[in-house]
Amino acid sequence: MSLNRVAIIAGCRTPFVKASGSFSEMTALDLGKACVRELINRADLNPKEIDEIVYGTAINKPSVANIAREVGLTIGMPHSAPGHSVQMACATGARAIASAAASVALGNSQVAIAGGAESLSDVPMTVSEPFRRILMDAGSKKTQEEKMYTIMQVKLQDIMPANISISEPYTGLTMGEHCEILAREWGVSRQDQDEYAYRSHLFAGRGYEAGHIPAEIATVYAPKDYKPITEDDIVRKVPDRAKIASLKPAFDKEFGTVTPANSSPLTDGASAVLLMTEEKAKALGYKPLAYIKHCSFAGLDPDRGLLLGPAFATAKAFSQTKLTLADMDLIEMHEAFAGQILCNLKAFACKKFAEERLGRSEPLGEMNMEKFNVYGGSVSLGHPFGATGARLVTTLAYEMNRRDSQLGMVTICAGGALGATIILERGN
Amino acid sequence: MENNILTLEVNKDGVGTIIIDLPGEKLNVLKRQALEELEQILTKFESDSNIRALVLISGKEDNFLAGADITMFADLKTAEDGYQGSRAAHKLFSRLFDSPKPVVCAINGACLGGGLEIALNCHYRIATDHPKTTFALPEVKLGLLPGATGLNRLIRLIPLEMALQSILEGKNIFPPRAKFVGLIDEIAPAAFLRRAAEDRALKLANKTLKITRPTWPIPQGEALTTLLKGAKTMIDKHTKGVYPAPYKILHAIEESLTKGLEAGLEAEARGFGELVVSSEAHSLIHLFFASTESKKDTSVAPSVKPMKVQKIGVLGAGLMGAGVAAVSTDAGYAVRMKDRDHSSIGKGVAYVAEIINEKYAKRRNGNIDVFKRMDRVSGTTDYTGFKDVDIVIEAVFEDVPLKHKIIKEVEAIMPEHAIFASNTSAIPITLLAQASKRPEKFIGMHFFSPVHKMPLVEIIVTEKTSPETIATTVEISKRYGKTPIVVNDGFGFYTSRVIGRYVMEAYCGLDEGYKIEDLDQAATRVGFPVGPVVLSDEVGIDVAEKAGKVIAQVFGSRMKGPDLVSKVVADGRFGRKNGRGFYLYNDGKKGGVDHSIYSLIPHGHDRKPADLAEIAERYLYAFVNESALCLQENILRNPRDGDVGGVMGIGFPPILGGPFYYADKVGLDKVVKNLHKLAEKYGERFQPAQILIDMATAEKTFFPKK
Repeated sequence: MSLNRVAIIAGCRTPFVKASGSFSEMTALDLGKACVRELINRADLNPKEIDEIVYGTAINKPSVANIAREVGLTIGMPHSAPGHSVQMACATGARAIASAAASVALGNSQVAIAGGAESLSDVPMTVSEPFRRILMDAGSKKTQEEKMYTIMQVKLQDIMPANISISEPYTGLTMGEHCEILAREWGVSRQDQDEYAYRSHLFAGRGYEAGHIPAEIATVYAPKDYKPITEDDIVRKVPDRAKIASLKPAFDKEFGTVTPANSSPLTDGASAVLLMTEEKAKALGYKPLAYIKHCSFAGLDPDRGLLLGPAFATAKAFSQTKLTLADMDLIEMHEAFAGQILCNLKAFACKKFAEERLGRSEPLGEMNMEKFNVYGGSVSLGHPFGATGARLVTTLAYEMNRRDSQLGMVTICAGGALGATIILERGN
Repeated sequence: MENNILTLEVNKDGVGTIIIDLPGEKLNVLKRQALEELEQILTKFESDSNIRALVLISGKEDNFLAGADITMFADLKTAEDGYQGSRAAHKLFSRLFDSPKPVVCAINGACLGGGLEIALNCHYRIATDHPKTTFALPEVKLGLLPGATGLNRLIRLIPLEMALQSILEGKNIFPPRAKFVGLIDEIAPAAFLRRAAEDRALKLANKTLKITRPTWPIPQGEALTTLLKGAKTMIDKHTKGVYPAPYKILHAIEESLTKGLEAGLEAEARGFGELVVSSEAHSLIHLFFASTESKKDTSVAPSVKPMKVQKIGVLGAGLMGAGVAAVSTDAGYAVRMKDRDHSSIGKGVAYVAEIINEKYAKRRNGNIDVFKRMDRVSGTTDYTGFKDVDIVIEAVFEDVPLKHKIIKEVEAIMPEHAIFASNTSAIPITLLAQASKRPEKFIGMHFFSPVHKMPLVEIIVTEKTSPETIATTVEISKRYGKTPIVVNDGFGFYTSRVIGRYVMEAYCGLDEGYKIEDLDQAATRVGFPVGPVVLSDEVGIDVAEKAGKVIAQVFGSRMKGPDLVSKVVADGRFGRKNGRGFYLYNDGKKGGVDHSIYSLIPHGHDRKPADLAEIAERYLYAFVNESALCLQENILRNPRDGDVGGVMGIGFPPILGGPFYYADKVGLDKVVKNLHKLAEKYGERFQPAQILIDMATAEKTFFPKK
């Protein structure tokens, strides 16, 4: 059976803004709806043409079991068109795109929307374990009196809000702590990380200057007052090295190197891309930005460099496609931390690592920084977990189109020691 | 038998169910025949011991009973006829109320007027949660009162303040609230309604069901007097005393609560009798039929079907544009707003949110209704998202070159099939259409401000507008819940031209030396909702001035107003929008007359006393004459649209039924005679329209004589 070629027609995202800021009245679902609605309008696509939506968040809200369907129900696509949600931590958006692309390639859908959203202003609040048990117990009681009596058994210390734990269940460490370990292992200094953070902001500034980043951003009229939010609010277009150097380490106060300035911040935002079969794109008169050539997902041992997912996923992608790093005209790597980026770049170039960990005789290769994260990344732009995948694919697709590049890739590290790599091609 | 409206089915348990089903109609209305059939069935029910209980239910899919057949009231020639009719209904419905055997009313869909009055006489009411299930006594809107026991029953069932509100304003009560106050006893899904009702009826007959219903103390003595006094003050304020029905309603309620049910029923019947033959009720009933017909009349052949519309592009996110966006999303359309900058769109979206929240936020699960509607609205500063619109409604600044530019821009992007509708309030559509490449898809859709409240849409067609374009805009207007009137193109169309003439008459009065407040009061005391001077403050004095100049140009010396307005505008007085006008404004709130304005206009502070009746007559005749000219010039297609548009769009007194109905009632020969008299005194602007003279000579009327 022959597969359809999957075209990327358009992509867009909301502004990425600091958590508990301009989007504090919006949920991930609200952001997703706003983004997808705008994507469809910008693409001048009649929503009735859409066959499927794949969407996701990294932190799922219990009240929204299937965010993809909820977005799909409100954007005017046919009610008969299904929607399913995916979750793969920070690779959620990439997983959504891969899933939608598979569906389009197989011909299950001709037109699909894929992407993700995150609201770190609207993280589900959890309560302490003893309080949770009492609440469950109270809920099962029949009369108001019994409910009250059960609840009254709660102790004061149990009511205190539980820490929202972002540590990895498997390792018990937070992402930042994992980054610290990785940086120590690979010998990446605080100065290196700060310099990379500086670069990220500087390059993002160039993206703004050129108008390329603003072109990807859909204005959101944010409740309650519906003031238009048109721009990202994290990036410093003119970064200040001294300011970056002045921040204290966040995870290891004593010896640490990872600071808020060289990490991606807590962010609210959403993104989405529009995918079609090549034939459908032609029939509707669209000129594709690029085609999805390949998607790889890979895991590694969480205790041995949890954030090295990009190296593993890219190794898998290259071995399956017989492509090399040198073939890539542009590379977008998700910047969870400046330290994580620098360690991955070292791992890409390391022969020993390639042999021992990736099962390759040759390293993936030395990164040509001219082609790397050309308009900054998550450190400077922000990182709404579920939204980062489609942001990277969008930025890459438009830039490949501008540069007339033939091949490009997006690669992402994700919690749980996972990696994702998506390769795009232009061609005719 | 097969033409029966009511059928009785008795089940094995001895529960008789009356099914109300008016043959061949979508809605049930109470006709005389139904009342006769009810009487026969009740006689059988009362005498047949095999029928142990009764259920009333509708055979319609989603309508219980929409009220009395209003055409019946035309047969009531005298107040005594009306009184007797009301008394007969009391007697009939009370047989349900007084029945020793239980009677259960099962309600799915609208339960209005006479329908609710029947329900109120049953012992137990069970209703569905269907979105169309509502309860209301809207008689007051037709200048009547609920005269089939409804008034007396309702005030004894639900809290008195709520009953007052329901009867005086005719507002809907929805099932959850109805259940809370005890208007209904139970809510059931539509699928189980009949089964549940028969079950409850049987249980009531077996005395195994006890009705638990909240009881509401009825205020007595001092408390009652205060309450009724408060209600009267409200009525005075809202209606300025020109509508008789609310006062009759209050009187009947007072009689009922101070002297008992029998006195109350007597007052109810007397009140109904007097109201049903009053000219006010006749006018309001005329308008009710006229607007119903306007809604049905697309003005094109029935074979012309409206286009399917899914998405509406709105140009301009100001108050008008955002208002159109709000009613569009509320009607289920996707909306794309376009304006120059994001902050304008943001304000527009905020205004849409305000309107939608006002309507839905307080309802049960209202936040879902709000989200659904807000999710359909988006905005842009370019024309993205306009390639799949079905219609573009333009609401940008009233400037011909600007509109021409925008028409060209958007036509380059919108699809071939899409319609362009301009919401201009006065610029001829033919002039705007000169910029269009597809004049057959070009039309005017004139909304009134605030868009979500005003019930009229004036649809303006040019010689080139296609029938499909007309049918589509008529359909859209109806889905907005508005009444459309289709008029032909001309400067100011119908509504703006006539309102311009009305305001001009007030300016003439100022020029002659009358007081501002007198010129406004003269209007409101005959039933204009807003006086003409207040109105020009609202519309904008600068706008009125500009329009006045164009009107004078287009229509010649007949329409030339006094010069004083330009002086007022030159003084920087634009009306409410800049807080300086004929009236004083404090933080956006209107105060009294701004006396300093007199130094700008003839006669200065030396104002003369006015004969308010004579000034009102000038307004009414200006209105009538200009409307007649619109009919004569074929701007209006018929007098009916003139009445509907005159009342719903521009505030002609509803109790006078519209300019044409009013002219008929005065008598056209008298109208012509009076116009001649006014013309002699005030000049050519009162020169009667030829059509009035011709019709008066031929002894014709605008509407068939009854």
